[in-house]
Amino acid sequence: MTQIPVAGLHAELALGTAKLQSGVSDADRLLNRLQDKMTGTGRKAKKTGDEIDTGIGRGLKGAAASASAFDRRMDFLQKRFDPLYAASKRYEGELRLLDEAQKRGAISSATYTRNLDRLNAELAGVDTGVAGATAQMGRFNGVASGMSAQTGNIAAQFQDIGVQLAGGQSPFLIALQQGTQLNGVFTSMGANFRSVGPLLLSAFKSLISPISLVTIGVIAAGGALFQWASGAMKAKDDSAALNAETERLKSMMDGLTESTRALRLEREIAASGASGEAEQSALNEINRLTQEREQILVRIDSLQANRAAGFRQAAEDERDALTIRIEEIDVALQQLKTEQDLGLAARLRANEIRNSYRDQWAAAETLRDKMIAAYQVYAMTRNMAVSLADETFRAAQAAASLAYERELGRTGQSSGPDSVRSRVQFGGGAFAPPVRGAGLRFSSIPRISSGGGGGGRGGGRAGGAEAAGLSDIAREVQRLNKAVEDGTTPLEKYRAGLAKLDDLKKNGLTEFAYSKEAARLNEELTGSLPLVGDVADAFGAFVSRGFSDFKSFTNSIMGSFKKMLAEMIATAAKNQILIAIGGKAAGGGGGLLGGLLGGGGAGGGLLGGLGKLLGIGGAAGGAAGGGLLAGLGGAAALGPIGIGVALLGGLFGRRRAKKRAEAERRALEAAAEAQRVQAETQQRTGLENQIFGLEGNTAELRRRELAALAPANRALQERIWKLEDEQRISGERKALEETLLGIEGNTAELRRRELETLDPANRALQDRIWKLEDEQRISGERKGLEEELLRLHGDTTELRRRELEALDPSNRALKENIWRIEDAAEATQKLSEAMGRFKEEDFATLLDFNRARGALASSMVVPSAQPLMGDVVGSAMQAVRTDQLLTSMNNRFVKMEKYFARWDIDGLPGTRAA
Amino acid sequence: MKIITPRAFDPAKITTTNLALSETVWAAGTVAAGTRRYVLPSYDLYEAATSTADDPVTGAAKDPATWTRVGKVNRFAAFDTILGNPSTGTGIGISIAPDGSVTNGLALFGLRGTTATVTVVDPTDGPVYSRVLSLLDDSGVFDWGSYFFSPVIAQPDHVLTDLPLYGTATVALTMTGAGAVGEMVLGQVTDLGVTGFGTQVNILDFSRKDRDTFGNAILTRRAYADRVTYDGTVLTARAAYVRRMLAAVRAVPTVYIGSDGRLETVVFGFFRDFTITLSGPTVSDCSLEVEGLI
Repeated sequence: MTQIPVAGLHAELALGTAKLQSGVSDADRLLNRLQDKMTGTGRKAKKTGDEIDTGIGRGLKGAAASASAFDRRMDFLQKRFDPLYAASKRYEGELRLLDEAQKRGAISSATYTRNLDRLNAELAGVDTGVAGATAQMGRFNGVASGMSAQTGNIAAQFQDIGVQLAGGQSPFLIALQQGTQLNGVFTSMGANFRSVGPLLLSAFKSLISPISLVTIGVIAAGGALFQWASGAMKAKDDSAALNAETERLKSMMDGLTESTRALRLEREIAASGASGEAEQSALNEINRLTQEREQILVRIDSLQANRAAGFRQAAEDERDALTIRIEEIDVALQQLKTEQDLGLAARLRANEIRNSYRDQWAAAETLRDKMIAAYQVYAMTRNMAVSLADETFRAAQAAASLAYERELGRTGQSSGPDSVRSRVQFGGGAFAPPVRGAGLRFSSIPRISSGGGGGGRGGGRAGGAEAAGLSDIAREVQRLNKAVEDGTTPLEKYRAGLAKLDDLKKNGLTEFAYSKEAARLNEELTGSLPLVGDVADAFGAFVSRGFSDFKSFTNSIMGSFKKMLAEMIATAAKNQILIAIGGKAAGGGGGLLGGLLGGGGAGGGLLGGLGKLLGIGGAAGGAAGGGLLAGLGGAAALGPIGIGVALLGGLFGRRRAKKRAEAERRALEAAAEAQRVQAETQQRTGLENQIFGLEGNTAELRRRELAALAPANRALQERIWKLEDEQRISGERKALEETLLGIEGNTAELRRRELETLDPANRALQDRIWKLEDEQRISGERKGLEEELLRLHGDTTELRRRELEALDPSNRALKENIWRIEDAAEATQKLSEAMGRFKEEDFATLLDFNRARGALASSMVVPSAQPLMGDVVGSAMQAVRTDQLLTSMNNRFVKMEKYFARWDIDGLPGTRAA
Repeated sequence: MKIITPRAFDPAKITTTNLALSETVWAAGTVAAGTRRYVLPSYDLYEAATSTADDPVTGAAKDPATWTRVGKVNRFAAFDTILGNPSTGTGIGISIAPDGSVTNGLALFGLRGTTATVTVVDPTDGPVYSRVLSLLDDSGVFDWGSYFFSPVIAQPDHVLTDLPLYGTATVALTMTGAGAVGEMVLGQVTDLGVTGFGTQVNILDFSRKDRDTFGNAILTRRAYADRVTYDGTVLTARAAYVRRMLAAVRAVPTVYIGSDGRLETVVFGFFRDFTITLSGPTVSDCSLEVEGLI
């Protein structure tokens, strides 16, 4: 039995363990490194893929750009060397412009159609011209095939002619340029041919001449026709001229035919090698053609001249129209000037009136100054009168005293101031209490004044007259006082009404009713303030009469001021504002006034002066001093009246006001109720109308609407309804007919009707659209049916080929990849389903089961979905590496197990070591 | 009641005679359906279910599987724990070199051939064990009639639990004639207790035995596995030891031996369940249900 040292085992075990750990660490590092590398590789692969994709994208983009550039270049080259192509391009461009002009409404349908026909004719003409030129060139090349260099030059010249013609260049310029060059070519060719032989030369010349001439002629004529037509169309629509020129072009084309025939003849001559007569015949033909050429040139000149004439005529027509227009504008300007002159005259007249008013105003101001001065004189006079009255009073006192003294002297009684005072009281003061107590009885004033001091008879007369004026004031005041008591002054009425409105509003009056009633009160108040209007009217009358009737003017003003003063007094009395002033003044003033009145005629003079003052103050219209004085005076004199009025108003006014307020409240409530009822009625009417509308009761709706209209307009409304009904019925019938036609499939009739609704100019376009739509529809139907058939046959390959064809080439690879993936998914699904049909229970062994399924999988090949190669390789390598690592580790564990097994065989290490 | 815990498979320690490595090792590439390849280092043999480029290990795990594990290559088929995949050949000779583990038990399953001899040869002491195994079951021959007319029944299973404990000895199986070795399990013998009567022996038949709705039998013959329910007795003092030993071999192919002389109690498989009833202070009852491999 082999003995193994235990210590060695320990060491080997430790070594093995260390190696194992080291190996595991190494493996981990390697694995990490591998993973890092794989990750890096994956990134690189992805980056590479992205770069490839980007490159492909760029390449595709570049390819697209290249294709676009290639197309442009091809387009250019085709335009450059294919006259017909260039002409068709130009035709398309012109057509686009024409369509745009029509779409924007720049031209009429007739103009559009005409230009369209012109373009079509032009294209056809170019086609014919190019074909003719090409044919000629072919014939030329056939004859002069041996002269390749010269032929090439001539061919190039012909191509240039065609291209320039198609490019829209002036045909005469083309003829000038290309004709000269062709001449140079032919001349050089002729010099060479002289050495060959006169027959060939003449034949060649006879060949060349008609070709060049006719070609240039055709080109020039066609171009001239186009340009003339363009110019003529722009200047004036002259289809007759166009037809004439077309006829001329046809004549030119006939010349071309003749020349071609001559060419053919010459060719036959050249081919047969004839001489002598044939040569002479050819020369004759050359002469004839030369003459014809001359004629054509003349015709071209004529064409040019006609075109110029056409332009000139068009310009003249336009000029005439412009002249007419200018004349119209002149007339309009003249009218405007006349109107301007009239306006200026009106303005001057207005200035005159304004200046006149200014002068009148200045005169009025002067008058006012004069009146102020008069007042000042009057005031001074009044003061003098007062002083005179005072003196007269004192004189009367002195006379009375003297008489008393005389009586005493006769009777022996002593005299003193008291007795004098009592006499004064008896004589003058006795009148004071009646004045203070009367209040309302101004009529007593005249008696007082008339019975006043005998020393002032003149003043007494004046005072009597003015006292009569005061009586008027008194009456007015009485009237106003009564109005105040009744609350019927405009301002009072306004204030009272407004207060009532406020109360009613607080009690639920609607805002609408409040506003309406307040507006009415405002209007009423405005209309009841006549003073300003009266003054203005008076002044206006005064001015209109040429400031001649100053007296009436002043009287009118005076009346107005009187009314104003009375109202002021009444209002003041009502408001008890001036009453206090008046009352206090009355306390002393009354006594004073009584004393004055009792004193003699001076008092009457004072009242008279007051009346005059009032008159003067009112006439002044703006003299504040007079008005104020009048107010104060009136207040002082009439304060007691105010008190009386206030007392009476206090007694009766409240009850009346209460009744009035109640009446107003009821009236407003009634108005609000009426308004509510009206709103409800309107609402009900609206709802009923809705019901009628829903029920379709048009007759009732119309009846109501008619009833709401003025009788004079009802017939018009009924006519409108009738027309509307007719249109509606017609529209309904049309729609129903179209529906029926649609159901019947009568497309022809439907289209005919639709065409009828179109403008005739657009019908051809609509027809073309329908034709294209029909073609597309039929093509689409056929395509759909074919595809359905292919699907039924399961011909996926053909279906996909068609689908690929319909895709942009750059996207086809993507689509194919999508199909590949879809196929793979579908095949996998089918395979999975087929696999599911295999039951393990039907097989004896797992090997048999897997064999059967493997055979099925082989029969159903699943296309590759093309996973990323990097992923596959990476996962495979990682799996291999992991497997290797595990294997390595397993081996190491097995080795360790061997050691443990050895211990089992040889005993425990400790025991053995001992 | 014993168990033989098999030693780990190590192809480097196995020397064979007349068992050539005829199979092809797998290499990356696409193979056709039915192709068999083995992989290293396990020498597991796979058959391609379909044409595939998968590696066999990955392909066998796929659904549907592209490879099917058959067992091990013929040379090592006797060690693949699949009784139904034997190593076959004529004059088979298998030598197992020591790997340092304790090996005192050998179980052989599915032996077919003329003769079979097991020897243990130590490099120092020379042959220390030799046993010739009878591959025929003559237990049914009890008279001349049965000698001549009873069917010849093979005795494919053998178990040897008396191999000498040589750590450096080589265990060899030598057969004559065309034969096969289903499974050769070499390992350490562990004695768990005593098997008593009452042990049940049967098989698990995996064949399909159904009837359709018309009553026709649908029979699919499949493999079967041995099943033995041991009724044994263990020393109560060793109950814990027995439990640990059985726990150590859970879900590990192990040879369970009820009695060396009663081969019907020998099963190579795994236990489904075991119960130790501590029924007395000296001995306890043990029940162990084992299912064999196929």
